[in-house]
Amino acid sequence: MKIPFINRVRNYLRRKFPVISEINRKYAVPRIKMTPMVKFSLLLLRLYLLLLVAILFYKFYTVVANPSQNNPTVSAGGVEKK
Amino acid sequence: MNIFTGVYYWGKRLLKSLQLFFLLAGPGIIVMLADNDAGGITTYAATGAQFGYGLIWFLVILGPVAYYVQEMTVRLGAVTKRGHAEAIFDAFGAFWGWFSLLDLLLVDWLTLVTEFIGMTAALAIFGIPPYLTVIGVCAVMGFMVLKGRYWTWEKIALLFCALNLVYIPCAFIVHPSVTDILKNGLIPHFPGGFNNNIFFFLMANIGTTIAPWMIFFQQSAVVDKGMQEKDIPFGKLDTAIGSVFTVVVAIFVIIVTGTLLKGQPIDSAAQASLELMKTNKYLGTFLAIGLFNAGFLGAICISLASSWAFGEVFGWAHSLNKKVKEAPWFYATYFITLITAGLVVLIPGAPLVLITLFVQVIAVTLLPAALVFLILLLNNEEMMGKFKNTLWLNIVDFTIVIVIIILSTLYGISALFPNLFR
Repeated sequence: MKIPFINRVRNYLRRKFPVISEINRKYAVPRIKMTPMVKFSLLLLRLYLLLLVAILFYKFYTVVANPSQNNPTVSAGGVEKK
Repeated sequence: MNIFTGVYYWGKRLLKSLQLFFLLAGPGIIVMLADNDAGGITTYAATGAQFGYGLIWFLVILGPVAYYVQEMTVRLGAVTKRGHAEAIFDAFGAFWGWFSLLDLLLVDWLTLVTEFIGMTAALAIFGIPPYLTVIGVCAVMGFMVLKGRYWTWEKIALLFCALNLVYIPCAFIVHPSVTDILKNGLIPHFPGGFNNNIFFFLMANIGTTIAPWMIFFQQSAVVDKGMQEKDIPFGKLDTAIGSVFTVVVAIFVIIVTGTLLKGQPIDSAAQASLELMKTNKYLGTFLAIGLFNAGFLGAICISLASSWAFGEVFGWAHSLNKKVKEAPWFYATYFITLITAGLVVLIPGAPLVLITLFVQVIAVTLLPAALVFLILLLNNEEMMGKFKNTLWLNIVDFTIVIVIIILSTLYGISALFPNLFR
């Protein structure tokens, strides 16, 4: 499925930052042999990161819902927790 | 050949090996002592204040753990001649490469902010305003890299590493009971039983012992130093010595706070220094100097880890052996990271506690990925040849990596939800 907006952003970035496109082209194909162990490890990593993102979103939601309980501050030169 | 000739040649060989070791030593000792950064010293000080000598045994275990993780970067760097960021791009493709690089940049920058928090807090004890600390640190760090030689940078860094040992005389000043240390510190047990609080401290100590920037830093340093495959045994020895020093420093910090501040709630090493000044002026002063030095050591390594990683991936010249004209982007990244991190600390009312907590969370997103990539690369025969992991190393490394991932993840989650493990 093509998403025109994403394609437009991608093309803009390609034009603006050719170095990034070059790096993407250079490292387009992973050099490591995709053994079952490598595939399994990468799958686990993806799932792990998705879990972390979900936890971060949940935390963000709780911070937005109760802003008064989540605003500790500290000044340079000394700790000053609220 | 008589016995004297034998001893003579043995001595000559030993002297030559020692000379070679002193030439090659550096990255391992620096990374391990820089691991005891401002956050690390705070964690150890708080651990000692909470549990006395009770968790010293745990730090003794963490020494070999740190060694086995960092030893992999020595082999990978010496064999592939690539830093960790470039190795990830090359082996796992652009997606994982960008993820690691951008995550590293964020983690490094946030950690650098925490180092500045530690340094400004330490020097504030002596009445030095934060802006002067930031300017001074940036100037010294600028001088260190602008000398144009990796060798010069490394030797100055080693000098600061030596200053990290200031905690050892501190421990002798407090006259701790050696019997208590041996009895309560070295026999594995959980003071007061295994509860949420002790679990939190165990996780915090692991979190400070293994950090993602260390993996990237040491591998890049090995490459910049030009270490070859034949130098790997010396690189391993360098790392082993560093891991011993890091544990020794951590233990001595615990002995100091465990002797004098046991039972007091300690939130930061700066607070511990102020408390200790009430008992012994010199002791508090030493601890504050040590805290500044810890933050400084962390800062010099972390800012370089980012610059090296960017240089590797973008193909810029990225060596301390290059002059500014030859590697402008490398030095630009270094100074931008450093100065912006320093400026954040000077912003009145900046959410520095939130930044400190955020570091732990972001580090948790990068550490497992960096460790998994490390272990997969070390098992790649095509890349590593005879230096790939043996079965024994795989058993040890996999166990360490799995335990670190679980505990550091729980630590990151506990930073988000502080009451979860307390």
